Amino acid sequence: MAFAVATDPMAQTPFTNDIRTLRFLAGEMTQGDLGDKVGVTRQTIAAIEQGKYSPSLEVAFRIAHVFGKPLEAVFQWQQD
Amino acid sequence: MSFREKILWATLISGTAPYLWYFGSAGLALAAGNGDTSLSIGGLVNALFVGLIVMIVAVVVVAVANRGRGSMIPDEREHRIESRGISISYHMLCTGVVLTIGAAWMGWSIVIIVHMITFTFILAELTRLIVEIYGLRRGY
Repeated sequence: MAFAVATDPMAQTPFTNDIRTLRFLAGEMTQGDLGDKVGVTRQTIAAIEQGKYSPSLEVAFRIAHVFGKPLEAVFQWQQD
Repeated sequence: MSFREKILWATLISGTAPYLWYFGSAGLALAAGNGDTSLSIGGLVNALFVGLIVMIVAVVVVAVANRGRGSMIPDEREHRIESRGISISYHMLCTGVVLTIGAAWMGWSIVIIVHMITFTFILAELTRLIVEIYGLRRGY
């Protein structure tokens, strides 16, 4: 299940992500907890989750590492 | 609202008020045709001093009220938003400096020149703050 909700279509990233689901499966981890583990703010995690902001490769890998998943299990390229 | 955004709001509101008051008065005096008698370097320095003190107090209050809840060190998203704000404010600064140089070249009084360059710096800083707050509110 992917969550990529953005109010501004122009701001939509070209990929979806499963961060919200993975957080839920990881003991209902909060955005703040994930942000602390990754080294970004809660607001940045929220922006990534909503598809408003494209994280750097490093942050993307860090997020995947927190959940113990490969990158493609967290982020999926959105086909046209 | 993130700690960084709170600090930006505090800086914007506390910084804008004294300058708006001073430059509003100065603008009205200029419009009325008595700018040279109403404007003074001393008045400008007073406004800058008051603005600075108010800004410092406001930022310290927000920082103390939110101690331990955040960091002013930007993460990558905040850094990108900050860079956008700096870029836009830099263009405003350059435009203001060019206009001030033009005013000096046309022989305007030194008091007006000093006010113009100070207003340029303040406007550029306010622009940076507004762009950053807008970016943080929008999310990217």
